[in-house]
Amino acid sequence: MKTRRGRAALPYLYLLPAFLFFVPFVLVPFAHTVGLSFYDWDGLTRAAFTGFENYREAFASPLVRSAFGHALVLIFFFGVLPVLLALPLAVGSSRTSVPGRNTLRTLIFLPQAISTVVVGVSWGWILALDGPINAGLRALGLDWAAVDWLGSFTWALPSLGIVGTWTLIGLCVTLFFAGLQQIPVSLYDAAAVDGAGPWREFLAVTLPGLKGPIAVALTVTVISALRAFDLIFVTTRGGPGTETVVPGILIYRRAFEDGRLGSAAAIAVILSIVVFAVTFLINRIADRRAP
Amino acid sequence: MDLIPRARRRYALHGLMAALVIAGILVGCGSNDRDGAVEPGRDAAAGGRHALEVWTPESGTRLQLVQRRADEFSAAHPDVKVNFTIRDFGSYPAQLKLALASDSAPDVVIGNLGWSLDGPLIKAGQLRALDPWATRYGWDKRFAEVAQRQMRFTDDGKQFGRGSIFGIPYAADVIGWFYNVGKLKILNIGVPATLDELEAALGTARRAGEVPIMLGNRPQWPGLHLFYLVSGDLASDREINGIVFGDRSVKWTAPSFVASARKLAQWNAKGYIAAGANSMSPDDALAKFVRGTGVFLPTGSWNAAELSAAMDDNVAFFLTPPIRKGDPRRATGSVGYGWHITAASRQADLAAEFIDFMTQEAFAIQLAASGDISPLAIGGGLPQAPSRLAGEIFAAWQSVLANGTLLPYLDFSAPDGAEVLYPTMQSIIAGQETPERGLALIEQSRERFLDSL
Amino acid sequence: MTAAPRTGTLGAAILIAFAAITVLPILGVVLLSLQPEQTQLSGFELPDRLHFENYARAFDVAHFANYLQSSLIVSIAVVVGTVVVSTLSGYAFGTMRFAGENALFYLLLAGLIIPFEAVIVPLYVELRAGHLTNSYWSVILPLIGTNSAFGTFWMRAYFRAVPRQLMEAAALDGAGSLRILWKVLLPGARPALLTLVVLVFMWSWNEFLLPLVMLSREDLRTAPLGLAFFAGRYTTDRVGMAAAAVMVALPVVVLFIATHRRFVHGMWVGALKQ
Repeated sequence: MKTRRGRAALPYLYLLPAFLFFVPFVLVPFAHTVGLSFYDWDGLTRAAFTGFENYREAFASPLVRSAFGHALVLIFFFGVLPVLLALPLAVGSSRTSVPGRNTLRTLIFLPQAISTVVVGVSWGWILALDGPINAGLRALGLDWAAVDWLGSFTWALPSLGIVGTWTLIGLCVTLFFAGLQQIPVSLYDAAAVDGAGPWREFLAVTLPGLKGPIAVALTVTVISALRAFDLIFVTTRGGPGTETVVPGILIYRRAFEDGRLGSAAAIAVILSIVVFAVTFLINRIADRRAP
Repeated sequence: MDLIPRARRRYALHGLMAALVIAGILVGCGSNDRDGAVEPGRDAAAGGRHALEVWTPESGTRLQLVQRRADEFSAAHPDVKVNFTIRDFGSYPAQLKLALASDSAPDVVIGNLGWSLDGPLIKAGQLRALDPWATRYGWDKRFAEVAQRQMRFTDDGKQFGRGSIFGIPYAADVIGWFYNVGKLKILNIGVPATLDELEAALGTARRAGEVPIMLGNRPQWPGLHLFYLVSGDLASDREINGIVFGDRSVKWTAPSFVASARKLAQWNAKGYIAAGANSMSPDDALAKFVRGTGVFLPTGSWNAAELSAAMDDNVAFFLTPPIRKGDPRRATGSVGYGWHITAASRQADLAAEFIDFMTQEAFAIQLAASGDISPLAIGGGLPQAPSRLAGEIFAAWQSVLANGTLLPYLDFSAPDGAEVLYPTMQSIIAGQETPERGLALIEQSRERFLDSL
Repeated sequence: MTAAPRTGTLGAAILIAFAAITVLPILGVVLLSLQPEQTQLSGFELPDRLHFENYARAFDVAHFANYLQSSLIVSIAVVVGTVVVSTLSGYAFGTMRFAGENALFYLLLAGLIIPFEAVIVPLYVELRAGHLTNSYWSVILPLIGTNSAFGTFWMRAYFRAVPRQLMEAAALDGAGSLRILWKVLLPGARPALLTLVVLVFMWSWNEFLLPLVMLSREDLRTAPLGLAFFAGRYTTDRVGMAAAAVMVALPVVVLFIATHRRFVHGMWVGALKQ
């Protein structure tokens, strides 16, 4: 059957299995979500068409706005901070020949392998009013600093942010290590010849060379921040008050607790748009800064 | 790329199928394989193994008693097995809704009164009206009128307090103040007889370096219970019942509610409420109280058994004292969540028999013996209080029933407590939101809900 | 080839410090899990002796044996499914030219970015209508769906980097596409495949939202789900929670440590191809 048509069909046959899972279980539901966002539905009785009402309510609602605001805060802690910390860490230690280097790198990556539920439950104890961090602060005589981290209206969100930083630094470091390996030695030699010190070398050679991995790291971590659900569900559930409410929590609550599935869908669509936009932006900027 | 001959391709495809089949077999071991599948229309009298699926948010001693009573039911009906699914109170509504909509819907579920959970479920046709069985088993005679009001809903789920009977209560609860007897003695405080005396006691405790109010407010609704302990005194019957039963002429922004909320905020500002309340679960707070932290523990009578088992005579109870000395005490409480039969259940008769068994006086006596309270007036009073605490609670409950000063929970008034009511109350207490603005937000949300009915 | 070490000692110190900071919380929880049952621990302390019975308790009384089994079934099924379909589609994207190639690829990429929260509601309704909720399929099928988007991306990157001559030579010898894949390309793909297996296993095992919504039956719960509800009900049993937490995290961590050398290399290679 070596017909041209048969030959042309071959690639599609290879694609078929993947799309057989992808289309009905990812694409089609997403399309439904978009459709659902124009209705008011409690999940049990009949749905009522309401046009853009859910979107109007979402944009007008202080709760929804603050949910995205909180996500922005998490973007800083999950994305920006780990990248900023991982850069010197990776650069400073990539050329060391300490024994057990691989083991150390593995350890740094370990938080990624641990379920966010485990992370949440564990840090819930660590950050407790009578937990180890406060015990340490008290031991250092800093009693005034031993606050109820996850119960504080001021500190709950940043505390969760720091947990995210802890979780994601290892990923960034690993990506940067890989990226550093890729930078041709010749560039470093050229810089050395020009008499560049370590800081100039970093700016002129290392940073541009890490452009790709930085983009990947930012993309993954920022998406992680926008999608955050597990960690918050298991620790504060959106509290205290509404200080740690993020879009993911809002979607789950409205869909499965409050019976407002149309509204949940609208927020999900808005979230997806934000995720797409941010991903696009990050990679655009990365492409533009050509070395 | 050349096309591979047919035979080779078929071989590869078979390999692929085999891999998927193997995966499928691995998976098949765990997929929904219900044992004791029930045929529709069969009732308990017929032979064959029946599994009754029951969902509950209970915990602690009460759960143990319920399960023990269910075991007695199984013993009397050897062909019936009762399976419990237990979820913590916070996760319960979401998980229950998911279960009710699934293929493995349970037969019997515990709801929560009013619009907090029952209303939406009834409106969606998920629960059965129990009137036929109520007449058969005499449920409409078993409970007092004030209790029945909380059991009734119109079939469209729009009106709470009248209509068909949907839930049969088996336990009751009332919120009050547990206190550490030893600490009160050391602090030289008498048991408060007025609201002012209570506040003074809080101040004294604080100045002595104790934690006056032990509270675990992480799930956000315990703060609301603290609110009830104050609004019970400051707000009128009409106002409270109005909010709960959907009277639109009554609003959350009434001055009495504002005053109650403000008092709470003041207490917090003065350091009367435990510092770690917002990240502590109610269980944690109870555990700490038992181990000696905290003078007062405002919570419900469902914790009585735990507390007396752990603290013996060192723990006691009182309802919020009245404003004026000697006035009858007012308390927020309910005849407890009720047992419901789901619309999806194919064993409704068996379920009804189970519910009847679980709500008879025999069980009420078991409950009372553990220090818990029941919605039934137990003939002849309590045989012998198992602990002083149980006796106090029982007496308090009976007096509230007798005086007609039982107030329903305000969070029965809407299903989305988690979105606005609970967090806003927490914010008000913490001083992050003014009482006026916070209550206005709550009222706004309530009106939106009433509009949607 | 990298330049000679310039920041040897300082670099080592930084690495060690960060590794220590990362590991400290984990260590704390492990230590907590070995304390006597009713401890209300405030700091990191060494237990008087190692109370392994906490693990036995979590395994039996708290039903973690069931939860772990559920997680294992789901994760293995997802890994098998994902690796198979991703290899096939990655092969097509990576080595063949066809109409709509770019469009289809971007579609897949978009699927990579779509947050699960955006599909969970209709997915739930769909699967409920298909009578699949409260079965492992309701979790396995969607996870294969999302993970194969990543898997395709991953394998495509690998296949693109394979020298064309290898494939052309085999084709000249009369090998068909499947044979080329099987005999020529896959043997060298082991690092890439291993990385994919580890990542997909990890993501499937740790998945929370999907089982939370799909599996309301007690006996089907996966391990993270079991832990979340256990922690919700027994908030004062900190030692029990710690033991349960360690048990839930252990399989993936063990897998990860066992394969870390190859895994790191695999990620290396993969990150290269971006």
